[in-house]
Amino acid sequence: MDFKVFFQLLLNGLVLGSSYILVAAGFTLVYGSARVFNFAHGHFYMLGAFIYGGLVLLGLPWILSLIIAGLALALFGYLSWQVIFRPLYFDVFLTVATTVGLGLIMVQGVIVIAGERDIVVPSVFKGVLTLGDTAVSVEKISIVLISLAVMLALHLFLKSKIGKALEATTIDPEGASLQGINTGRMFVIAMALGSALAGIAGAVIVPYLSAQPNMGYPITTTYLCIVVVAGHGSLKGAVVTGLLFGLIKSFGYHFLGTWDYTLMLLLVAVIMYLRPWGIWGVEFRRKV
Amino acid sequence: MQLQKYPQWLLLTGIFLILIFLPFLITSQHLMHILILAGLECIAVMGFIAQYNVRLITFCTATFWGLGAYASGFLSTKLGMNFWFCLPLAGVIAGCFALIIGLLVIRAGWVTFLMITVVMAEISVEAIGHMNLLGGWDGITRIPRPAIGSYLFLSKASYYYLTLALVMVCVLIFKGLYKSAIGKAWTAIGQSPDLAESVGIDLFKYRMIAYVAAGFTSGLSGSLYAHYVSYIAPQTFDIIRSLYISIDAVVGGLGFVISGPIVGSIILRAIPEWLRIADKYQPIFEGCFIILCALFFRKGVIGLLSRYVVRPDEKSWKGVSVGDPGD
Repeated sequence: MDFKVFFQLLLNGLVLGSSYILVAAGFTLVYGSARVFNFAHGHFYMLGAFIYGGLVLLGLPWILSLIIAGLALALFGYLSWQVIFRPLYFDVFLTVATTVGLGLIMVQGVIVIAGERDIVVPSVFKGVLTLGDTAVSVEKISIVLISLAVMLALHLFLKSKIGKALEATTIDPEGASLQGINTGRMFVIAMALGSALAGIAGAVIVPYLSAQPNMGYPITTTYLCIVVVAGHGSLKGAVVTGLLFGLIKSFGYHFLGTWDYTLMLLLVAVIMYLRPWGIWGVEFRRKV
Repeated sequence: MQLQKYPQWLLLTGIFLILIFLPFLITSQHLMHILILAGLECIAVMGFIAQYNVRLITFCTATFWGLGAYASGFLSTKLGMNFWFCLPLAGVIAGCFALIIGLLVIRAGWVTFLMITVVMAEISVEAIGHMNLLGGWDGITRIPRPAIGSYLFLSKASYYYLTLALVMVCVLIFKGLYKSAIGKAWTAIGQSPDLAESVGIDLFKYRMIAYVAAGFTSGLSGSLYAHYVSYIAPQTFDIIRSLYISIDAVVGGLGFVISGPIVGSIILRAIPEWLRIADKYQPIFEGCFIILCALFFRKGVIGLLSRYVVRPDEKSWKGVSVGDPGD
């Protein structure tokens, strides 16, 4: 294969993968500690993309728009936790059902407000970098770098005292609360942080894709596949699998056309058969 | 309340008579259309609740619905088969698919199962869209209406009776299952899988029965749907349809295995149409409804009514406990 094509596909895969990582990490964070199986997580990502796109089109600097998008989604996550999910904490199915409803409301609300069309957000990083005879757009590199920076910040946060408390809550809420950790606050933090990650993912990727109200559905499939393969609650697994899925999507689309989804499912099926708890997940007692 | 003293058969007969004479009372063709769609949907909702009772939360009910519709559409248009052969065959094909998929995914924990059903719902649309044999993204057109001899089921009223008959059949199927030993085992699993397993109930077997029964009835319903609208496309059976089905189940009341689906699907199909907001605001309406239901009346509309009128026949269990993800 031509090296140039290979390099471009690799870069595209990394760009897609970096957004997948952020979304999947947010999902696994929320599900791990707050036990909200967030079906609307993909739509949080869509909302982040729209907020970022709108602010950039209004003329705000990109970094400010990115931060505002993240904060807005964190606020949204916080509010939805307080109003909807906290009262339903002990009923897993109703939580799932309400996230479904929330997702429907969000998608249709955006369609009503912004219309059902693609919104193209201009990239702030223009220009092309030439390495030898291969040209690389600065925009794609910037997407990968920003995602990397966000993941690094998340990693540092999880190493801090609050992060450790969050991890303890994920492992055992009752035990953590006996150790004097305010688990209620940890749930709020997890929910806000996870939602913010989804929003940032959407904001980062939107110059590469374009913002459309239904963009949450494909990513829902993707992050669920990632979490199934990586295992529940594993951030490291989410990073590796997210990158892998980005590469599969990019290379698969080049070689197989639109059958790339099927390739992804095949991988998921194999993993499901060999290790139902995921590659990095903790093995549970196999029931049934 | 006073009504509780009357025997249940009186209530059932009354409802049955109303359902029989409904086409004479309703003049609006549009309303009949809504009723037919709601009737077809409530069958899928019953399947959803049967699976929910054994703690399998699924979001691909519409996939099996679509499978039945596609099987029936393919058999009748491409192979020229009679509707009365297509209908059971569609059910059997959907049931077989449920059997194969169930063998692969039911053993995993419920979270993984839920994720896989979502993925399946998305993949099936993509896969059918790429199959030229099944019409690709254009779908299958000109599916004939069913006929007996020379009588064609063309009018809405006649199709309403056909739908009613199928709903009755499915109600009988599910009622029979719930009354039998299988249903007892389902209830036991719904209350506590661990306990059920410890007294010797084969979880896999009974989950499989629920899954296949839901697939079979959904397939039947899908077949009738395909012959009703006479045009099916992959996008008709996407995940949003499955999400609507699960919302119907919650709104009707998850504890009410037969009456809940019927009431839930009629409410959620009819009210947006009645308010004339269907095309644009229906998802918002459904979303608000489900959130309000989950927050304020968790037993659904029937649960709300049953406090006053109907004898409660609910099979209650207090939700899935917050356990380890593999549970």
